[in-house]
Amino acid sequence: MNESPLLPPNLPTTAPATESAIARFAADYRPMAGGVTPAWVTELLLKQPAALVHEICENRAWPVALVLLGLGTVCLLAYGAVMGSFAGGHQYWATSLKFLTGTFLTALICLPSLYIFTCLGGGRQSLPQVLHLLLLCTALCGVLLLGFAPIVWVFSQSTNAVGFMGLLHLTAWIVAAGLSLRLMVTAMRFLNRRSMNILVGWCFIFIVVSLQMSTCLRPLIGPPDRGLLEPEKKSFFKHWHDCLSDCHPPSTGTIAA
Amino acid sequence: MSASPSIWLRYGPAAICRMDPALMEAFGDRQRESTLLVTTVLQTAVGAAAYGWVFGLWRGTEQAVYSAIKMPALFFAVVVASGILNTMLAQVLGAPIPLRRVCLLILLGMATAALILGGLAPVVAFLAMQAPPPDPVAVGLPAAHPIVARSMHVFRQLLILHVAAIGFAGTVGNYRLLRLLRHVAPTRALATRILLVWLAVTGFVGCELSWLFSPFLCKPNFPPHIVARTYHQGNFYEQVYHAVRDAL
Repeated sequence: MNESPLLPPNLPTTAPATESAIARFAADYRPMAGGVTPAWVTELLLKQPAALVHEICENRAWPVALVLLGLGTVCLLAYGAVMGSFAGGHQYWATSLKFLTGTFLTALICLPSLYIFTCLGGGRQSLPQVLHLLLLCTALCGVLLLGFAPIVWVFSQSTNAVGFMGLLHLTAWIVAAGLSLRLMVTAMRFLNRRSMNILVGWCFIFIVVSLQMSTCLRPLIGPPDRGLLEPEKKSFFKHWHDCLSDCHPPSTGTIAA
Repeated sequence: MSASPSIWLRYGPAAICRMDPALMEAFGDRQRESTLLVTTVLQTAVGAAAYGWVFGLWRGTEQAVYSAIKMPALFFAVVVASGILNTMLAQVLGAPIPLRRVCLLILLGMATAALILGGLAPVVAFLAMQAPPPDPVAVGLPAAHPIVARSMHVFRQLLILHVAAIGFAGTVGNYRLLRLLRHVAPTRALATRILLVWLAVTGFVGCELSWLFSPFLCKPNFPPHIVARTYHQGNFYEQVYHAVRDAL
């Protein structure tokens, strides 16, 4: 009987850039110094996320997860309010809530596939650990989006072009989500000592679901002319095509993005 | 009751997706093989039923229920229909694998595919629910009618989505099957040969059975139904032949 290992190949197949990211991650992978306070967790999230991953996997998983949940909620609500400031009025709170709900729903919808893909890659994390890592990713995304908020707010106050604002928010989202997903893939690679390349495919699924979620919860940017949620169902491809093809000079821009 | 957590850990979804060594250790021990067989059947049923539900969801709850029943049934029917021939072919090729183990191996590959489909089910369900629903007026109209054509456009988009999801899950499942075969076959080359032969047999049988079990998504101009009304008028390969002849 052949005794070759059944699990996927190990790390040496990864690119040098990935190896250096994992080496940096490994250097920071140690118990978190100090208490689990929102300010400290935010600091670590940006500077030493590996310490938070260590807490999630080996120490105080639930306290850290709760702080990450709160942090993510506050940041996403704040960014949603900035997004809603373009249209003003009810959109301040409506977009805030929709953005928060949409982001967490996206994470929830993608959680089962993330767990299965992690196992397929040879990962040994339990479902709660995968959930906590996804929460870490969502919180980082929220914090990064909050960093974009002042820039986005300046543009939202100086233009009426919904299409332009849509592209600006999309760019901010892609950058924030991309960096957050990169952290999660690096963490998984480090924790399992495996290439985990299958998670790159999962990242694509996450981005597609988030784009469709933004279409499902529209209008997020423009005024709610037909109610807080558009009744018509459509794919995000068609929605973005409609938005960009209907992009008129500022005075006539009334489409719901 | 105390054995349940260990069975779950040894033969649960994570173990099957990773193809843990514990799975391989079960081969040869009749009791452990039986336990593995039962857990694999259960997981295949749950994963396939979850995706089956999602498959029919666009046409409504009735079609979702039909597809949730038919999808696991299709998986098991393929194993049953191709098991004996696959055993004979493996033995002829030089790997004396008994029927019971052949079925277990194929089922483990299918369980991997079913678990991937189960994991993707929430994603595909969300995308399907966000697609424009079929026009109820389209039921009973000819396929060329403009109302049907509008809904058919969405139907085709969803079909591509489902084919992509099932294709991906099937590919990974077969890749896992190859790893298992490498463990039980005397040589790696023989394992690859057996997989190719099994793929040919299972693919041949699977195409016909999936045609018999259709519809899963259901065209918008037909009411939801469990069995195709034209199933006794030819087979999958005749349909392909006629389609190619018409196209030429």
